[in-house]
Amino acid sequence: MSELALEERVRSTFAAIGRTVPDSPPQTWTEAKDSRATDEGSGRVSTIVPMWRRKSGRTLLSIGIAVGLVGAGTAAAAASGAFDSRATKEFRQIAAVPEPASWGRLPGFDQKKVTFEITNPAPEGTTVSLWSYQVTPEFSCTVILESSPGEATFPGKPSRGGGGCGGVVPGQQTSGTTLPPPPNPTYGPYGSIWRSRKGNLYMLEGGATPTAASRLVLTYANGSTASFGAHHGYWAGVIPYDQAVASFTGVFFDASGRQLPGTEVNP
Amino acid sequence: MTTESRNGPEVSDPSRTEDGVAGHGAAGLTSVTAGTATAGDSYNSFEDLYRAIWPPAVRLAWLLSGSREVAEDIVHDAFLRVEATWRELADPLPYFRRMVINAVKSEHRHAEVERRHRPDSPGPAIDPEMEEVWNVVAQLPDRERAALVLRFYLDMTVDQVADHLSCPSGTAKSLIHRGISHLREKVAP
Repeated sequence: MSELALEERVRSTFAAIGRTVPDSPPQTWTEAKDSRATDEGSGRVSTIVPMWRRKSGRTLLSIGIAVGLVGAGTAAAAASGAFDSRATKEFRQIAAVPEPASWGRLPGFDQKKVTFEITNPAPEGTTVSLWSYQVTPEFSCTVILESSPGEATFPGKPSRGGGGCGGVVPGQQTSGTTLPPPPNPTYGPYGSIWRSRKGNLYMLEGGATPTAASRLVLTYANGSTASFGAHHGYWAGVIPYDQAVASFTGVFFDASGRQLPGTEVNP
Repeated sequence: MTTESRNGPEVSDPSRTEDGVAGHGAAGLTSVTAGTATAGDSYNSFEDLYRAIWPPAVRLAWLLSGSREVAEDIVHDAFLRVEATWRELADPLPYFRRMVINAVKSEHRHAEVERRHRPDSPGPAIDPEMEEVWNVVAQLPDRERAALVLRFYLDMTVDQVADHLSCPSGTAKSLIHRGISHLREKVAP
């Protein structure tokens, strides 16, 4: 290929990528400023886990959107919930995913309504955190953020943020837009792949818990167990990928160590 | 993300105009103001300025950083920095361009491992051949990549590239040449 042809190919590529950015910003400055506080020192975080939650029973059900990651930050920052502004940003990005199909942008997104729920330790000195955003009493979004940046899970195609919200779409509260209720009392976690800096594959998992739960204990197919803290009706954790795909079950415990009956986790 | 330490000190003369930069119209952060006009003369409000500059600024930042997410953060920070004083800017477009370039430079220093080899895919908007180029460009050393973007996206002359990268013209020419050579080695004909 001649130098001229190569240069032209570079020009075309740059121009094509440039054209993918819209000719006007998606928000006004006022909106952007409100919703995207600068995140001093916390770096990138990510991996979004879409799920929907019905208020009664705080039960979760994945709405099945593949999600991605990109992230950095400190364990301390995550542990203190300092990723809130990033979580806010991720929630906004969730709105770009047309799921359910009739759902558009988060209307009147209010950063103050994003709630930091829990942070748990994760492998390789990282942490995993979960935030929620209650759009309406019947409609909510949840995002899980891994504190450490991951490697691309697909060569040349690093996964990116995405996600979704679920429940009864605001303004369209007809029976036709109500997703089928999850099988109660099953709590179904939902996650996405995270490849650590050391190259190990994990699943980032999280979801709702019974209100009284303070701990979730998962039992993997090989008989080993792992314990994750639960708080505010949510848990989050990072599970070795091979254990996650081999299936696992889980049970919740309250603060006094009693198992909460009828609240099994079944992925 | 930091803002003060990242952008300000490296903007050597942000108020000057960019003579002779053809650019790609709105896509290239091309200056549209002239002479000694200030931003306050050209834009009725900060919202107007934001609407006009956000798209080309994000495009440039994305190409330089390889990440749409990083690009939007950088541009957002840039607007935060100038919000209080934007009316006094002699020519906001070149000012933003320099802020973006410097911010990406700083971002790379902070997030080298994260960025390297992991460009954001533009998705189905570009064809596979372009995506191949994009992926190779993402793996180039930062200065080579920046030189290619300034030269072939903003249509800067070699001297202008050198000015923006704070290096001699000979170095800028070498960066462009090396970038193209690397592409030739890795991109299928």
